[in-house]
Amino acid sequence: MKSNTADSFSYYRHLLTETALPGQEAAWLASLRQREFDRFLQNGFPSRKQEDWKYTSTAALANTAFEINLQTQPLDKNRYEKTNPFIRLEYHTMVFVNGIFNKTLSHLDNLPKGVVLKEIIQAILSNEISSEAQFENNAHRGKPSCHGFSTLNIALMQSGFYLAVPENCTIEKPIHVMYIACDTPYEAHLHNHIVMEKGSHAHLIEHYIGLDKMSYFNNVISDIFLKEEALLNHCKITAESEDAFHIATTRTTQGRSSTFKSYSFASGGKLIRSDTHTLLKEKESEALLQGVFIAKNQQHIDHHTYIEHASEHTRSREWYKGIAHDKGRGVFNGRVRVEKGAIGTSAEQRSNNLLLSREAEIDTKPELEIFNDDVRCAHGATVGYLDEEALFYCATRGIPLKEARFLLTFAFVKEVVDTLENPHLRSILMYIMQSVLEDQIQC
Amino acid sequence: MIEIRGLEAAIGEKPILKGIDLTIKAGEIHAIMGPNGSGKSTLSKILAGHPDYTVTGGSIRYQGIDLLTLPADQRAQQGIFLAFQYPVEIPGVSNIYLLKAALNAKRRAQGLAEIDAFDFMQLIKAKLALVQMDEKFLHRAVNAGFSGGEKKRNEILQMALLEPTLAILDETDSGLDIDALKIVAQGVNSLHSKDNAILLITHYQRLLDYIIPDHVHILSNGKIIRSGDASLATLLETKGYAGIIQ
Amino acid sequence: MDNRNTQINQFLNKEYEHGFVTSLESDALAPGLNEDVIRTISAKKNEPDFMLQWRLKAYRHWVTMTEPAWAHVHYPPISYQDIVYYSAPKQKKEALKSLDEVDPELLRTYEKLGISLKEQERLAGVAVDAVFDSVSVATTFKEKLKEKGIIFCSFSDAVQNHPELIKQYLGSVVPYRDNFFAALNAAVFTDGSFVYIPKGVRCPMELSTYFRINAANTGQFERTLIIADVGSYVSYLEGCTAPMRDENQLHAAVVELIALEKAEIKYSTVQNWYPGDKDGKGGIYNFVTKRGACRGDHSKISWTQIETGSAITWKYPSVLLQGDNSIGEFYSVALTNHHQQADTGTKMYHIGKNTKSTIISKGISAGQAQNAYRGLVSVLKGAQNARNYTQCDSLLLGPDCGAHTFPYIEVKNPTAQIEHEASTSKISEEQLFYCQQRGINTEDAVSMIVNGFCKQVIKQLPMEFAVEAQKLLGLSLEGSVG
Repeated sequence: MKSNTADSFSYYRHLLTETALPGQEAAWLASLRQREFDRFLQNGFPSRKQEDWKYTSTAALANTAFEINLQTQPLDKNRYEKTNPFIRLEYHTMVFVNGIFNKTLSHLDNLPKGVVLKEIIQAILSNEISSEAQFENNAHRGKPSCHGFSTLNIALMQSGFYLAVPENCTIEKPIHVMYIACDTPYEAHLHNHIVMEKGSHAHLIEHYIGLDKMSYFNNVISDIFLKEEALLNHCKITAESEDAFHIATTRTTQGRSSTFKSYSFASGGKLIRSDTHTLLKEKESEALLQGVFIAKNQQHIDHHTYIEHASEHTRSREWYKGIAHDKGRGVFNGRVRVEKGAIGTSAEQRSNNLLLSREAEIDTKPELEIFNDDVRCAHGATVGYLDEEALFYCATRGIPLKEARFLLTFAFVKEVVDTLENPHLRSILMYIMQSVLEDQIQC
Repeated sequence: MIEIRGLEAAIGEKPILKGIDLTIKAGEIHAIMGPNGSGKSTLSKILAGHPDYTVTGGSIRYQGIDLLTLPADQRAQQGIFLAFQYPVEIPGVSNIYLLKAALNAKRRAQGLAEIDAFDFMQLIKAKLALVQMDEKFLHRAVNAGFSGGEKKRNEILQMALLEPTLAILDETDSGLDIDALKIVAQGVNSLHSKDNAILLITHYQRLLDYIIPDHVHILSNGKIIRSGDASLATLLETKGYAGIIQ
Repeated sequence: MDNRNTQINQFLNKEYEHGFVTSLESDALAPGLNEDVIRTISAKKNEPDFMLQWRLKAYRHWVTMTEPAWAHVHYPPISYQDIVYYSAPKQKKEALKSLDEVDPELLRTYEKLGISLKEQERLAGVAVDAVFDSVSVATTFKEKLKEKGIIFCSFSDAVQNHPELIKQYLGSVVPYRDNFFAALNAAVFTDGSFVYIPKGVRCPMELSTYFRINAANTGQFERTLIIADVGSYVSYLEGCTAPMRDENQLHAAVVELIALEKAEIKYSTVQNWYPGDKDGKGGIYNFVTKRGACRGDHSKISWTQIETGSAITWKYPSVLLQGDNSIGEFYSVALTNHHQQADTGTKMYHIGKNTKSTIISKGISAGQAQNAYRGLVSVLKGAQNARNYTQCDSLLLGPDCGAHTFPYIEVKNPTAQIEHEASTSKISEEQLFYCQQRGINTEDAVSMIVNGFCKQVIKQLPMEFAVEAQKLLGLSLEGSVG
């Protein structure tokens, strides 16, 4: 139903007008929603004719018609505790179930003074976000991250979180936000808003996890604002159910000498499209983007990154690793743009991919767009099977082929996981990746 | 222990070995010497079972079995070990992980239970001392960023752990300074016993000053053209390959 | 440093050398395009009906198409009704028997360009087909080549004398539906070169075509077809120039190469169409479709291009690797200066087993120019053991230019090994200083560095062309051909 037809438009019009979307008390939000919806009507969903969607068709979303939840969704405490791998570490935890914030399961008692972490609609109603100007990530207006899904996200936004870290505040423990899907299909338009004031430091884990075999749709935007010298370590784990749709855009605007470290691990979901866009807006800001995806069965996992160097002496490094197995398809599109005045830029990009089966496919496109000469930019991409010489080496040490394949595949992924600073996160991710691979690499 | 008869082999369409006969008995040390391109490394790869080489004729019997029917991992489990001239780097796989996986694969093949972590650490520490390697090597990725000497010592460490019946050392001396060469040679000598055999493949006589072979064979253009005892290597040193081959 | 920049700029601001106009009477159609124009072109060329029908099909398809907009280039809309689609220098006779009958003004034009059409004055190793505006004016060494069974003639002659080959191969690699400019070319192309190398023959000399646009407001639409039969070899070169004019002129060529079993085609281009002046006025729009098919097993097609001219270049010489063990290569230098724009690269389609491709692309951008590499490496499901290595390097000279890299890698077979590397940097000040310290002035130092940067590509060119290419790049010749 959600192809670009009058049908899908009227379906969404129905959602917009008939659903009691929260936060309408804020007049600016109500009017913004309407404008974003009008924009959606104009442009519809992205099509494969658009370069940014060349390898990813969203047509499979067409036959779905999910409801948007507005009430708290039940989740058994025991079940939740089994789901949260960090439970014993007592991270600052926000739990959302089927798109709705669940206060009972969350753990937000020990946040440092001045840190605000709350449900986004509440932040709007209590005027922590008090205007459209404050809400919007304007620097990304008209850029590739603005498409049908992102306009719809704002039009239908029903939940998400708001995080504000005050000046020079360091949050020692990671913040763990869990979006859990269980029991009943739904559609959620989740909007996260993160503001890191000058000199603040935080570690954020955005964790999407599906517990039951069912189809649902998470449409996410995370808007991140890094002020001068702020540092955000952002880890996104996408472990949705096998039949789930997940479309997410993380867009960051970086102030002077700020650092954005982004990690994206995607292994679960039928269709995953995960965009990380960062604007190095002020000088000496730095971005590190890394990721791993494992596409198996019939999964389609597409990562797009867009790094804009808009100021002097900005740096970026990027490293994505992808695995496609069975009939899985992995897509990586990394775009680096260096603006005219952005002298002294350095940008490095690597995309390494393993293709493990005859039915699988990898498409990779590392792009450089450079508009001044004082730059040092490089990228590299590889696609291939496991290193035959390494397999032979393992064999001469007596290790059976099957085991050697697993070993090398696991090692391929581990190289990126090893760059994470948090040892707990590292071991949790290794565990997740290991179970995904053990399950699959039986060729 | 191993009997090679009329072995012929090719890579792609190109013949490299043109009829090799070689018998090695338990307790012996053999050295195969030859100029570049004579087929020395090919022989070692074929013994280990590299898939790129095609055996076009002849046979290899190893401890009563037809070696050529076994895939590389099973040959290793049966006690054939190849110390590589250029050990491959495997980023992301820690040395200790590979060693343990290799040892357990061999133990499984022998019908033994997998070794527990504690026993394994005890064992590996003893072996590390043998090649004078620091424990921190265990936690680095296999050969990744190792110096030439470290790679070669790492090969001998693996050999020490896996206790092969037939160890093939392919140009193990290349790229080693004199101190590292002595350490490697001591390691190999201490692992040698009456129950196992060693096949050294080398271009120069240098290694043979430290590991004394019982038999020396000279390989040229895919054939063994001359065999003798250790003195043949000395002769070779004075006359050069050209002097012997003509 | 300022002084150094000035010197670099002087070096980059050299005048276009081939910008003169030859004054000749020409036989031209009025501007505009419709079916009657196509019928007229076909009639003027006395073409058999199958050619006319093919042209009309192409035209009818073209009118349904829209001009592509995806390339990293910008230009005002082209008015296709204002272009002259046929212009030929007036010859005294209908058919020329020998070079002596060619208008001496024309011969002088080619001499001025450094291309003598008199066989005895040519280096023995090169046969030339000279294309002036819409038609081929002369082909040298025809007879000598004929002894070996090699056909080297203008496309028009081939249509008259070898219609069976034309019928079999025309449009078989680049069908008229392929893209907007290929469709336009198929409808209106007026001449070009034709080569057929028979079985087992190694062409004893370099074959070469020299394209010259002379008349104003004229589009050049030529078509080249090269067929290398089983086990044959040919090396083919093309060069291009045009006068300086303030209006933009369209050049929309199509090149089709066919290599049968164990055949090899080496195709080299030195493209120096008028690039426009330093303010971006005038220049050629060079929108070209070049593609080769490695039809047979163990066949090989190698593209080498030196692109220094044209206001806009839009071309992707590609290879369809259909035969098992076939090889495709693409070596490219694209130099853009002032307001030039280039969007160029290649497409390698791995279809057969054990196919291999190599892509080496060097982009140099200066002034306000934009230079983009766009390439596709596609490995299809059945292409076992495909190998590709790609290297794209960009060199930037000045703060206002741009260099862009858009590699597409699509792999559907796990036995493939694909490797892509790219780098972008400015000319190194340390290198410049080093050269200067050794007493080399900036101009020569820049030459040397640019030359070194392009060496991998230039060394692929046949000797005579390598020299021309280096002249074009403004390079010092000393020790440069390696």
